[in-house]
Amino acid sequence: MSRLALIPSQRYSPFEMGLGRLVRLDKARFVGQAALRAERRTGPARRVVGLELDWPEIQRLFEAASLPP
Amino acid sequence: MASRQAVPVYKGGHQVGKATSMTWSPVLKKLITLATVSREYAAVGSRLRVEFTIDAVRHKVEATVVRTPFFNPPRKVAVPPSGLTVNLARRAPSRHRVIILCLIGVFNAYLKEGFMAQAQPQTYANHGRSVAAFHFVALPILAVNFLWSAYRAVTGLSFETALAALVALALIIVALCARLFALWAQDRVIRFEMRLKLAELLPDDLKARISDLTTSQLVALRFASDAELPALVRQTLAGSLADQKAIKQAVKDWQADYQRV
Repeated sequence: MSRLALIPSQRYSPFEMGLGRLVRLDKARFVGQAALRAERRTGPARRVVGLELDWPEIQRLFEAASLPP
Repeated sequence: MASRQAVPVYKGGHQVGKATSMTWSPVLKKLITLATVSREYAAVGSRLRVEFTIDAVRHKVEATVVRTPFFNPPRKVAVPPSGLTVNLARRAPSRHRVIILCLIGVFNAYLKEGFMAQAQPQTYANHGRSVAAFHFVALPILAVNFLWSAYRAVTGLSFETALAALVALALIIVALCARLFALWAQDRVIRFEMRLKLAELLPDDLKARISDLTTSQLVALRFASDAELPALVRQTLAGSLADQKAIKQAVKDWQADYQRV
């Protein structure tokens, strides 16, 4: 993912994406091991989550604008 | 409705993240979106507001953090019973039973050979005994197990491999202790038996010195016949028969002991 990032905020770590269970930190050295270890200790600063929007509220807004949703 | 352009996510007037892709789910009948939010607001059930543009006017609409995947019914990971699985399940027990019966049979044969069958009369040369199941099956397996788990622990040290190595070591200790404890108990019985026997057979001057004989000397002397026992005890006490091996070799009329295992 990080290789395709155009700006720094597009670089996601596995812990941010909720894929931390797939990371094995105790195997032989690899690039980014220290950073991932630190991040696991402190927890990621941001998380990718799923959101459900309030659809009735959106329908009311469309109605107020006299538009179909 | 569907959007691949990131829009801001707010909490109480402050931006706490961005909704990166939004779509209408025809299965859930809901408008869902993936979002990147600060960890304080990432818990399931957390209430946020997402920017929503209608007719070039930006609104903020209520949104709730839900568990992903959005749609995850049990049937998604259900495994149908296939013909192959059913066949294997039906055949496996009988195959296992055959293998287990074979193993039990082999084990029984080993035990019989080790404990009961004595083809020739016992002598000094053949009085040592090895039980194949213990000496040639169990101990080598434990040794291989220990070496392998030690190798695993050295190449990739983790809690699991270290624990496996320690358990392998503990198994060997348990096996050896089980053997030694039984031997010590038997030595004690032999000592008791021999002291009683010697108290009856020995002349008076040697009787007083029965307690000078060590357990290992008594263990070796039990192979001697009643007639040669006083002479052997005298030699042993005088120190001319140094160890168990010397005492056993000095025995002329070998009295077999089939009870010791």
